[in-house]
Amino acid sequence: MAHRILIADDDRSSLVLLERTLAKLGFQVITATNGEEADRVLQGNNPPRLAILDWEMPGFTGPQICRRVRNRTDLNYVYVILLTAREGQAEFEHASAAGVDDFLTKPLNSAFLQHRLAVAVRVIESELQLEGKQLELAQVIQNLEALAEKRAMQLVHTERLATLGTLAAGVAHEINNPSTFISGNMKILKECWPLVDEALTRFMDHPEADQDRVGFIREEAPKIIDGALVGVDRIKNIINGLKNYSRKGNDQVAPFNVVQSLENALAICHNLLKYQIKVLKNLPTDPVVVQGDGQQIEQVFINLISNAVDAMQEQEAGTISISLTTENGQARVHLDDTGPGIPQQVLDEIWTPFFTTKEIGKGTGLGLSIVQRIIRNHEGEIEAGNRPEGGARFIIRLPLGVGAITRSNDIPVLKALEPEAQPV
Amino acid sequence: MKKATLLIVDDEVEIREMLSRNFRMRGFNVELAGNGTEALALLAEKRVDVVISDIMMPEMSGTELLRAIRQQYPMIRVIMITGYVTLENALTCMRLGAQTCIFKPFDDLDELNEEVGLALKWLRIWQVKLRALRGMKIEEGVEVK
Repeated sequence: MAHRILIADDDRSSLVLLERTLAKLGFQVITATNGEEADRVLQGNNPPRLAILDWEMPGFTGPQICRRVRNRTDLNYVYVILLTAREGQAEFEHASAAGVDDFLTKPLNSAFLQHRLAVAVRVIESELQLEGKQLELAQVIQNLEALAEKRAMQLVHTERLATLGTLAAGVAHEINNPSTFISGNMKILKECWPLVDEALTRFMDHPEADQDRVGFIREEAPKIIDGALVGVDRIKNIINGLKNYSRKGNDQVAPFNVVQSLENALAICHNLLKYQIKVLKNLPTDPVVVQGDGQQIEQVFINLISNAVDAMQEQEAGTISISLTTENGQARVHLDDTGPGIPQQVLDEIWTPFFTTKEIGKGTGLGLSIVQRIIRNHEGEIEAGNRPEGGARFIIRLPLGVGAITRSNDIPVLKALEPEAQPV
Repeated sequence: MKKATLLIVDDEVEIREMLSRNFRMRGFNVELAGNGTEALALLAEKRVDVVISDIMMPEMSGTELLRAIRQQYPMIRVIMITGYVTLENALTCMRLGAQTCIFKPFDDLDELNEEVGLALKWLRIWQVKLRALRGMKIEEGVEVK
């Protein structure tokens, strides 16, 4: 690599001679005929890393230029050699104090010049390497910091979820009791109400009765009771959703028939489906055997079917199509609906815990994150997308036969935070 | 015919009150206890036909109570209720001889009412047999709704 070198001498013949010598040695030479020019070069952006300066020059002297270079803090190191005809001790100390690296006496001895330059080049190249290493180090540090921050956040998230898991379990149990007696009491009240209503009806004939008020109470009381019951029901559903976060690993690993799981799920969802939803099934007659927890997979299908029904709620009628095929050692389930589909911008987010597009009170947003976890625990994968003809499509793939669940005893959502395995 | 008597055992007062209300509305006598020890003390004094008990209680748990009742009062049927929905709980109840185990929250009280009905029916069948063997009249049994 051709190093750039500045040579400054007001004696033109010396300058030309030196320039030729240095060019022959392979340097890229920049010349200056006086101190001012030399100073301008060294004070500019990206100056050469090597400089041979005459001592006495119009403008700035060599030592002055050197001192000015050393005063720059933004610069990488510049190796300065001073040309001098002088030899005295005082001058030497003066130049040294200015930060000069080396001296060459005039007239120049070729051998000395080459030797000194070789040293200079070694120093500069060493500096360059150091600078390179510093940059690398800075980058590595930056990467490490970013990674550390990411891990710290993951840890906090994991701890929060672990806490949530514990809380959820505790809360579920604690809420069961009040939930029970609220609903029980309301049901009893509902049973007793007809008698009260009858009494109120008769009371309305009484001259002192406030007709409007009595009418109001007769009208509203049943709604109040039913409203409370709806509330309790919703509490129960939320608690059930939360309970899935505190599931310990009671995964039952055994072979099961996916066709049967689908049929079971449809049967369980029958009530949801019977009025407005048509179901098109394309299922094989032979069993499709997968290893894992059949109950969990059934739960996955129930969740997806129920989501599809919710998506089509606003429509007068809708269709759910379910098909199951096997290929390449995999079972593949397609679950389509004729609803509005999933908006492009949320397609990636739907798997996040607590994500939901439902209005407040409807749905906890935990379903799909759990569904994804269950499928992954079975060494399978689930994708969501939209059909070209409209409506959403969920595709589930599960490996056939042996070797599905490898990780039981895990809290589903926590696994999502483990570092991804490096692709081989 | 006398009214049947139920004993409701639960450490939470609101649950006891709610269940008491429900069964009194259906024409039963209802006794209440806050834990297993209280329940046993009550059983020693009063005649009870069916016990409805929670599992998790201080001093004496529902399962211990169940065991004690099976030993000391074989004619009393026990219906367990619990908020802890686990397989172990259900199995324990079954092994210890409970009539059934019902999980909270109750969707409605139908299952519980039905189980009480079944318990009393069972009781009536045995009473009829035993009284026939002892030569007593059938009418002196307990009213079963």
